[in-house]
Amino acid sequence: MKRPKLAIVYGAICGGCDVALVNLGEKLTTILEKYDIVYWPAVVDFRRDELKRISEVDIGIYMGALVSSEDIELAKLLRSRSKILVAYGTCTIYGGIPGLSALLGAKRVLEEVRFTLTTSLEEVELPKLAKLPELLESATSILKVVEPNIFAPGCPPSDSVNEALLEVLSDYARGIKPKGRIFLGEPTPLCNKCTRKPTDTSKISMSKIRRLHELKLIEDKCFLEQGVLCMGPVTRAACDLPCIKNNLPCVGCNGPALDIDDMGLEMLSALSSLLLVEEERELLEEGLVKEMDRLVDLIGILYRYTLPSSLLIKLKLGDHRGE
Amino acid sequence: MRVGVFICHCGRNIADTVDIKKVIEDILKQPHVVCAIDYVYLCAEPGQQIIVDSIRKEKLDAIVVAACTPTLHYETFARAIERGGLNRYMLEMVSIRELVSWVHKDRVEATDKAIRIIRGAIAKVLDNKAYEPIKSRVVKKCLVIGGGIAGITVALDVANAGIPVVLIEKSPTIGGKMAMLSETFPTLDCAQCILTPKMAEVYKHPLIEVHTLSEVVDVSGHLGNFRVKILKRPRKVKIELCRLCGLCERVCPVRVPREFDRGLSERKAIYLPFPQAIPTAYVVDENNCTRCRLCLKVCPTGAIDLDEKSIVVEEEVGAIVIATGYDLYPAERLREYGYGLYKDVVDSLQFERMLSSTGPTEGTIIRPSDKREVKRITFIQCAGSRDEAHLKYCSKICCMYTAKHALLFKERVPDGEVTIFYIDIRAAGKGYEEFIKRVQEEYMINYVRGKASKVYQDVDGDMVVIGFDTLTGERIEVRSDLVVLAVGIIPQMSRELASKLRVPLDEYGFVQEIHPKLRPVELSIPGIFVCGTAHAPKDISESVMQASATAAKVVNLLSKGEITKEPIIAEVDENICSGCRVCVTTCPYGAIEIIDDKAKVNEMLCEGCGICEASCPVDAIKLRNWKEEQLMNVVRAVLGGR
Amino acid sequence: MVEWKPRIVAFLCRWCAGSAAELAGISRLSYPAEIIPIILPCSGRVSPRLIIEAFLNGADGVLIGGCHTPNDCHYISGNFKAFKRVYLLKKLLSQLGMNPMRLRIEWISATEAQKLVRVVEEFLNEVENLGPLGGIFHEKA
Repeated sequence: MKRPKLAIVYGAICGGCDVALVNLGEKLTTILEKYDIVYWPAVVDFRRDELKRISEVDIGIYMGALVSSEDIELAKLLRSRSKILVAYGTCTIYGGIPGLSALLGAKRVLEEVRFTLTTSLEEVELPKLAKLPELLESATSILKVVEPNIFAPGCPPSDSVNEALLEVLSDYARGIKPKGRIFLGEPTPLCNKCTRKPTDTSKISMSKIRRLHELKLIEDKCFLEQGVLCMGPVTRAACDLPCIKNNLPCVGCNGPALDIDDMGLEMLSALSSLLLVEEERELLEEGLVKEMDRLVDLIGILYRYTLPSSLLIKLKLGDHRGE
Repeated sequence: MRVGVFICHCGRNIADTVDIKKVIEDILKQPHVVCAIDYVYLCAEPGQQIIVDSIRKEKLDAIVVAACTPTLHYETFARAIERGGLNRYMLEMVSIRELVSWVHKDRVEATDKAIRIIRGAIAKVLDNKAYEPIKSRVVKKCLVIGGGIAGITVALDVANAGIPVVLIEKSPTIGGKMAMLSETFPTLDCAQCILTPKMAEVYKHPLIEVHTLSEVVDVSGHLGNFRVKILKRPRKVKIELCRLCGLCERVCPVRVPREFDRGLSERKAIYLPFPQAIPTAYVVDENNCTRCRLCLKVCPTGAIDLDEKSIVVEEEVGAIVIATGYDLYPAERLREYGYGLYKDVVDSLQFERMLSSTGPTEGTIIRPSDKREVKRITFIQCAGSRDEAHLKYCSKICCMYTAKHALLFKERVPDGEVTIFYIDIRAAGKGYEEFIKRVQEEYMINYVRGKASKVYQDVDGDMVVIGFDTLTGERIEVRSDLVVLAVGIIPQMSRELASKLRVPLDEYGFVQEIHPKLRPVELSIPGIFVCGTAHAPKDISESVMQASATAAKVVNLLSKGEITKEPIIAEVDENICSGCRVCVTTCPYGAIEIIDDKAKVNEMLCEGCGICEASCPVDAIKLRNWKEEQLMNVVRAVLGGR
Repeated sequence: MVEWKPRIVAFLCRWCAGSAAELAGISRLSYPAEIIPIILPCSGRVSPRLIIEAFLNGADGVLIGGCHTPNDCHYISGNFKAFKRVYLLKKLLSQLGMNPMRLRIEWISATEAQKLVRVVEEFLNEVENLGPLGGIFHEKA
């Protein structure tokens, strides 16, 4: 029986997702033995044109943010060739860190790149050496381009998500096809599994805002109670909470939990509701503002991984006006 | 879902500005709208009948009424649709009068706006659900914390309405501060004469249980169903056996300052707090008793039991009244006045004891230091009150009682010299201004407008008060035999007890009412009330008034044995809830708890504000009929189609 | 070419700002019609998600009317929650490049009908000067 074909295709990557897969070690190689890898730039030496010539792939894995017209082309290509398309990593599904460039827009991003201090100021136009793909106004989620079958969130996807993916691959190789849309990793928010949730379930006393370097983080206490912003309440628990266990707050790299359509707005509301609740009448608006002004980069905190797929970015892109 | 929309002309109030025909035309095109009917006065009988008939005829599931403000007629239309067989919560009512036709002149604009508002109402009502009012049984029993005049008044009023009361008092006798007073202003009634009959009535009342030497140590539960733990300290004397013979007191070797006289006299370790104390029995001061057991030997009835222990009693009550009263500000902190340093500087309550015919000096005014008769007396008002460094507020009663003190002194010592240092005279009550006038004129009291800056004792034993007379602009020195400080009053409610009861305190420690005019005896915790000086400085007459007001609220709450509540409250989808506690933290009523890792709303405490839904990071908790999806649909509907 | 007019959604709490709006009607005060009121139990019920939904559906400005702090809120502290949410949302929106003046929160008590009218007129004026909320790359802060 012919081995099923596997192709792994990149958008704008950092390499982390490759490392995550490769870190699986023997577990990965066992599965991959059952597959014929027809495309994976980090591992096998095939060119893009060869990918275009392949008529069909069983499993296509798209990794990385879609930031240019080429990325979109590739996603469409992969979808058209793949029986099963896997959207791998938060960048692919939600836009990820590259998505933050949406704050600047394509023109300013290119200007930033061109006019760095190390570049000569005389260079105003890029030499027309090659036809470069068009940089999109904002990175975009693969969902806006094609419809994947399987989603593996995470930056990079955690061991548990990866193992779940390997199970799917293993099953597929044995002839068991995955049905419908599969979102790997538990959909519930991190707080559901978090060991720092106090058993006495009293109120969260968030009487200040502190950045990580401003205090000694207590090991088994809820981060919000220590004044540190933790995205746990809105983030998908698609991991074993390694950050929390290593005394760092969640930054939301798994993307939104459940059906939340804008992680940042939900967390904003939760945060506003928690902050200085007992001190409201004493501090009044002035005092509250003073503490809230300690939050300098709200988008960086609330939308670090999900800006392109948020509702907020639609305002900037003029999506709501059908532009 | 079949929606019926009813639009009122309100005579010409709406119809003159809003093009009703155009509205109907547009509304009929909206999905789910089965009928859109207009009428001249919907609130009138025929108008309501149209709605009732349409419900039946068109088999409507939900109704939208566009008319005047819901504040006026929501109830009218809710009842109308109930007559039509629908649940009242399937009604959405919007104002196109106050919010549209009465404020906009342009017909086109007004019509457009009316259409948008009605579209919004339709969008909301589509997801409304039917609900029944929430009923809860309440325990027909009231707990009153504090046995002073306020606590006694509430207890009597509530018990006389047929509701059992548990009255707890932390000292060995009820009566509070009022029992210490000689006469009360402005009528100069003898305090004990008006108080002791009430004390007796409370103690004898079949529906009132009095527990002295008792304090609340724990509270749980909520409105209608509180579980209270009461610590009863041991009296060590059996009330029913004590004959008040006083033999025990005679043999007791211990002498300590008597609290009732504020240290002006002494008592034994086994003592009667004051002659009219209720319960009428001796009590052992377990902190000072040396256990010499001499009293046991002489007691003729064997009433004494030195081994009695504290016990904790549990009570279930439906309402709790806080009547914990006041104390005087620690006057030693007013360093310039020398209280505690000089024996001949006393506070107002000590002076009351001196004036009292059953007090330590049997009504004669003598200096505590050398027992010399007092001929010259100086009163200092605002001692601690209205002072940034001590109490910022006005203690309200001092102007009146100081005037009373001056009058009573002059009656006993007609040739006495009285000086009163004051900043303002606050005499706003009924007959109060006349009382002050009388004191000033008839009794020839020397009122000096200015603050006293220092009090000291001269070598010859005279008390010297140095002050400033602002009306003459001169520094003055007044020599007297006795100085009385009208010390400011502070609340007795401890922050510990307040936090157990979840009762909010203001910055000064007084119990915070929910609204000074709309709900002056209720607190943000439903089922707990406050009256008397625990709430704010006030005199006896006001305490009694407030206590009766509180009693009315308690009776209203408990008399039917059950309470009914609007069902528009929050509810939790346990499949989504992650137990993150954001809602628990943000609910102003503490109505949400985490049980088994999921949020649970206490039906009786939820007031339906929706703050929780807006705060929930995963939208697991929703306010009935005000869900996020509904409001989003409303927003889309009102903005749709430019 | 249809002349553009600003569209504003006003979330008003039933007890204070909403009552003020009613009083404005009873007093026959006049104000522009471009503002659409949505009456809710409490300003604390307004989530940032709802505000963004308003902007996404064509609102050029969003106004939230609540009870005066610190003591007027019928539900004790809903107004404080609304305040904090709006403050942080404004920060977020300006970081995004949108003029935060398009979102406004005001405390209007039930008797302050005049204030409501003044705020509405002022706000509409400001939003009109800002222009329609289009693609906001070029919006001046």
